Amino acid sequence: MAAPTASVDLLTLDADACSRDDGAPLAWAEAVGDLARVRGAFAVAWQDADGRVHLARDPIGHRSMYWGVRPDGTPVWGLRLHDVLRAGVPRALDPVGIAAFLSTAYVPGERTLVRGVRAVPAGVELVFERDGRVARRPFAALPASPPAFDDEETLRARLRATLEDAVERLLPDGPVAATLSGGIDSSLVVALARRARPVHAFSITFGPEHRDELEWSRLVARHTGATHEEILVRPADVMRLLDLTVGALSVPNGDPLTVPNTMLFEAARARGLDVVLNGEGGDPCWGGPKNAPLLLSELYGGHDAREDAYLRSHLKLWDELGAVLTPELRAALDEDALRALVRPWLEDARWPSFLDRLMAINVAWKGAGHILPKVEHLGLRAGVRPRSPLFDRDVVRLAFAVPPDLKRHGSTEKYLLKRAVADLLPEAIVDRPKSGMMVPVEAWFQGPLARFARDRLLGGLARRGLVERAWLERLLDARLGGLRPRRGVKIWLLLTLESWLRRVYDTAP
Amino acid sequence: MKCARCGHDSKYPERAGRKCPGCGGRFAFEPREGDPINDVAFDKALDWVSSGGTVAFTMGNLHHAVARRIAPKSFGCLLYAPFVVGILGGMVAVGAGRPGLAATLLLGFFGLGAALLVGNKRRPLGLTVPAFQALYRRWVDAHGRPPKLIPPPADRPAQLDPALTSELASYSFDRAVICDRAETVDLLLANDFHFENNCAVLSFDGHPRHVFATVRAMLRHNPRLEVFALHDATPFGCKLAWLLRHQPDWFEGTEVRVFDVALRPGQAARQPRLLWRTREDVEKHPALTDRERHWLGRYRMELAAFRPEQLVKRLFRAMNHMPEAASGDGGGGDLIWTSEATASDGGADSFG
Repeated sequence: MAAPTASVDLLTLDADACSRDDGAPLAWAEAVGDLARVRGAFAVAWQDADGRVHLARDPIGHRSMYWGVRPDGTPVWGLRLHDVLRAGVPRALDPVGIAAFLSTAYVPGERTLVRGVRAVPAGVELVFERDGRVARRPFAALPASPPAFDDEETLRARLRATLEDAVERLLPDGPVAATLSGGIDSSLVVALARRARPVHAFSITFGPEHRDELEWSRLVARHTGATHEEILVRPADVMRLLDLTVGALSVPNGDPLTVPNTMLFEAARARGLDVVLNGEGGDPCWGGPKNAPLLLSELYGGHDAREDAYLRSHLKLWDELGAVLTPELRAALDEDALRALVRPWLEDARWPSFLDRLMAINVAWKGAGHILPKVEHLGLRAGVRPRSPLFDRDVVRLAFAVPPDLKRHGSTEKYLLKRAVADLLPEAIVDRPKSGMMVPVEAWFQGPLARFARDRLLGGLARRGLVERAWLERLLDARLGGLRPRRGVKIWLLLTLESWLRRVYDTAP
Repeated sequence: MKCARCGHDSKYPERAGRKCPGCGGRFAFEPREGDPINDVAFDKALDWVSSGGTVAFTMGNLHHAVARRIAPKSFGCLLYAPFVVGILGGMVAVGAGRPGLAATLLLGFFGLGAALLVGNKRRPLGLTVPAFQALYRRWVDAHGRPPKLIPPPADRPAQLDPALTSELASYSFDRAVICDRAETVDLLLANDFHFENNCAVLSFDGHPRHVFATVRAMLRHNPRLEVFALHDATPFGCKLAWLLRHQPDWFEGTEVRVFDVALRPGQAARQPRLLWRTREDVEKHPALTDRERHWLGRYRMELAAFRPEQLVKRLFRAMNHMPEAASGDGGGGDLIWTSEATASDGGADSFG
């Protein structure tokens, strides 16, 4: 860790809701020497007295930073990948990045879709040495499991206090906006925020012909006294906003909620609300439903299938890469490269429990590489500051100090989290199973968005030499077959890729 | 006869040494030498049972698929000879001034021709297990093992890391499918049914052996568990749901809901082409109505007769509708099961 000196020059700083955890005033020129003490969202670059440039990003990944090296050897960096491309880093697509995106809907870890552009890892300080090497200095690794756990009641009380503190630190002075799905995570954030501020909660609907969660979000809004606004998302909104939304992302996010997120942030901005709270983080940290298939796979499948099971659990194209990718791209791809990225997490001895290993990789991958960059960049575009209390550093650290059977207790998901906030919410919300927000992509791509998808994919993506045209045609014509074709999800994933390539890769000067 | 590898069509004399003159590949079967099926028909059975190579299947599925293949034409143009003879004979009889004889010849030979044609096109193989296994071995010798065929249990590793067992054993799941046969369990597991649907899968008699005790104990941690019994239309299969509810080592005395998904005789009877005939007295049992006992005394149907893709999709659909359709434990998903199943996927996503 660099020693704090008066001669440190701050070069880049993006910080939100930051404070020192020892109560001392936060002065960034000094804080960069002790980043482990800083709570909040930050990405920072500075130059030390020896002229070396340092880059760092907060331990959870609320803020992003990217870097690369110009052909003349000069390192360049920026808060968005767009900045690094503009600075003259040679552009070539990374086959592993493409395969990762198609398998998971994001690009985990330090890779991006561009071979020469890397993401600064969360909780790591990078130092550009004068000899051209890039040194890595972790300053806040995810905590290992403790040798012994506190009892359930103690942990419940600690979790409640930590949640209250996290939400309070992230509240603005005036009214606050919040996303509200009606699940336990966003509901508890609304409930805690409402105790201190007026809350304007936003929910998504896709029209009466499609299933939504409004029954639950309305219940929470009534219960907590939050103002409730329902945002209607129509296929025409997708056509209007897809490029604008995806173009704001440094790494494409292929899940279908990006456009609804954009609309929601724009609505908050239009109401004059610039801080938007969300419930992201509850699933990865507290034993959410996506662990269940992996536990079953571990039971039935044995060790050989671990990496594959993790990649398959994203329910995208992992099992179909052989058919999807062009022969040229397959030839350039090391088939084991993605498994090799997963493997260390699932074998890490810092976490004896399998569930905690899943939590670790999900915080590092889905948190720092998927969820948080999505809300960060879409918020930046819309002019709002998204804040994620359940991904607060202290909340995440506490999650690692909770035994796995208090996260998933029998078949109850997020057991301790539910116990910690049960008094704040209607019983029906605490007890209901997680269902996930169902974006009606199947219906959309069979109907109103079919033409749009065909034009984009056959007229665009098919010509890039990444994806087999014949496979795309089978996908669009619903001729893929198989037990769960998931056609709509796959079309959305590929539309996102094409949109990102058009708006970021092709067009950044 | 066409080659299953290259599609080259060859005459019998050209297939010296049972090799394709087009690609040199070996034929597994030679109908001219008495085999009941040719390579293309066997290959089509594989394609059908695996839904174009996308779905894993059991040996039982393949047996049913091959048995349903249409027998190859073994008479060729000779099948049309009765029609020709009938017409020519009729013309001669008319010429001889005997219209009655002409009509008799026409009717007789046309009837014979029609019977031969129908018989030739609709003659299922009706393979016994040993006969099917012999055909399968010859297919493997010539073409290799079908890639989506599920290996028998002895061929697969079956160990569970003891260090993880105690952790995993403290969790539970919301749903479980319990089958009457290990083969059905293997079919579901090989097609990731457990993974896709967050549900445990076991057989009543203890399969998969290496996790059976652990998983069954896990299920008992969840008082709100939903159990789906999946079985052949056999006397034992139709008792499965009842046994699950009434045996103490399963769910007796619990509030667990047990649904009988399939196959009850009422469901099986709607698929007459898949039935087996039998003759057996079926004892009275509280799980069986008199009508079902009567039916089971005459017929059987195995789940393996269903195309695996359809079986899995129907099960998925039945499981997702049955708790709503059934007012209490028991059937109630009959219409869901017997109607055509389709995949219906939304784009689930997290919104915090």
